[in-house]
Amino acid sequence: MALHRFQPLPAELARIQEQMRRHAESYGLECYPVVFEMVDYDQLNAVAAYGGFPTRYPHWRFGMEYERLCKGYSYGLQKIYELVINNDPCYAYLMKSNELIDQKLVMAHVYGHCDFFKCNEWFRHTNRKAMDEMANHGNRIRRYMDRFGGDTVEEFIDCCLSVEDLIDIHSPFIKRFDDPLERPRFPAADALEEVPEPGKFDAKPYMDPFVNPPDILRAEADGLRSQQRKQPLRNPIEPTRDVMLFLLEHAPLKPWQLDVLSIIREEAYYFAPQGQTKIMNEGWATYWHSTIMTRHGLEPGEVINYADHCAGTLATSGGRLNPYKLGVELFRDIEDRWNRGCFGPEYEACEDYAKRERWNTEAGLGRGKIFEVRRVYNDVMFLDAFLTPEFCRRQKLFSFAYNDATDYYQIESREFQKIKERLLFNLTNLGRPIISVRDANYKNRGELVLEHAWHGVELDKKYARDTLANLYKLWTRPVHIETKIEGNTSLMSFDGSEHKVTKAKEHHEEKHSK
Amino acid sequence: MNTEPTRIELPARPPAEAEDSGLDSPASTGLHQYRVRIGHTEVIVGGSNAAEAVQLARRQLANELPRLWDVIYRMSDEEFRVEEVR
Repeated sequence: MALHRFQPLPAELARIQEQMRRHAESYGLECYPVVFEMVDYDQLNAVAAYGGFPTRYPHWRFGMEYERLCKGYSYGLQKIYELVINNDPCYAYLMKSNELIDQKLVMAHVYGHCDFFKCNEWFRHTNRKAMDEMANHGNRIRRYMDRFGGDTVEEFIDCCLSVEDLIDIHSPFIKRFDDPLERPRFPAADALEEVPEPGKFDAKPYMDPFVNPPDILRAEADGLRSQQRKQPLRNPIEPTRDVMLFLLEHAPLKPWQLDVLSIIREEAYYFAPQGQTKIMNEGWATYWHSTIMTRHGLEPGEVINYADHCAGTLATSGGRLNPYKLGVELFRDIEDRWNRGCFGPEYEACEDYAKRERWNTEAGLGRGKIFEVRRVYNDVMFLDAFLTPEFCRRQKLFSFAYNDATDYYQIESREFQKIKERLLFNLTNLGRPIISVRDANYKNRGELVLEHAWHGVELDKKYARDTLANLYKLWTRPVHIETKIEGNTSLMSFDGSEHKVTKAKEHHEEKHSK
Repeated sequence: MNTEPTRIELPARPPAEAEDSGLDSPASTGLHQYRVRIGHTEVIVGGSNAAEAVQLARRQLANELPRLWDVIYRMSDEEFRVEEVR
């Protein structure tokens, strides 16, 4: 499958692209230059499998994703309408077999995405030359594959990918140390031999031998030294969520392995903001494609097809959240509320339902507000700030849960607090468990201990065991994770040959034994 | 394409009264009734004159078509066709 035979746009589509660009600019959208590539369905599936970067490193997971997308398309289960990447210039892909109305819709949608990538603060630290950087990554990995063997390198990549979620998504925005060199380091081995200073009482020089007898001072120093030896050295000083960075700094890896791990980590940080802003990004792009198409883009004969395709994209089902639908409806709700002045202490204090429904101060601040929201918020903040009981009622949102008695999923609640809590929980840390490195010198034997921050959901045991096994390959010494299993604090361990689970009491005794 | 793109800049609007001012119930206040048309849409509003009718029509249309708020408030008064209803 040749990925390099992308074709330039036909003249008609190039003209439409220019019109869409001017419409987008007229509404205040700011985009990097956009390059549209014309591809067939097979090429589009291939590009999508690579996450939008056809120059990425080779790995079986991209092949698996390609097979899944091809089957989905062949059986009519799914179709990729748009694919755009965060880059300068933005690259977007149009499917050759799409009708003209779909091409217009995709172009308008893409300009919404491009504006979001450029202007949302959560993307500020991402690499805008990602296309080149991914190609660079691919070349480096291919060189290692040529030198050390494809299977060896791919197996190592498998280990790295199993921990690619273990990053600190907020770290690009937090300056933890004034100087990176000030980061606490593991103390040198000879630091153990430094004799600690015992406390001395103040005394005049001629009284010092009597007030601070040397024998007693010597005994105190010996006591402090033996106490220091008993206490294992702690690294890291405080739990760190960037497990991949910790491994880069402390794991005994070869230079090529460190390079591969750093590549996987960089790509994880590049894609992290896209996961954090999925609902907002799709909602923003849908809002603008709807505005541009309904006001400027549609010919009378295209209205029905456009409505039909939009309905398919925005359809909701009982068991899945549609980010396009939730995002666009919330943006429209914000715009409407800020146009009618439905915000602020006076509105919040009003308890008359009918009065709140009729509320209209003609503030006209809606468009400005949604631009501000697009700039500053991510999904968690977006829902936390703007999801209201009225919105939930209008959109008929509900939370559902598995009913053991009936053996299938049922509506659990239509209560606003419950719905909001469930949504925010699913979006926090991209829905993944929060795991940190707690100790890299467990039992003073250089064993690695991670901790799982408990928020009511247990780790998937199979995933946890497989991840520990991969982590062992990276750390080359026994690895552990402290978590809760059936309500009990437990330590899941892997020592290279077998998995073990110890309860908290046993683990505590073991930790403090000599 | 239907129209040429134009840059949209909404004029600053002073906040109106949140309370119901009673201007949209002409029968109770004895005001005139006006039919206000814009494009294919028309609304019946009360008011003491055509300008007031246009203002009320904008408000009513913006309530009914919230997604066209910016379009409705961007239109000049002359684009609204006002007709007194007897």
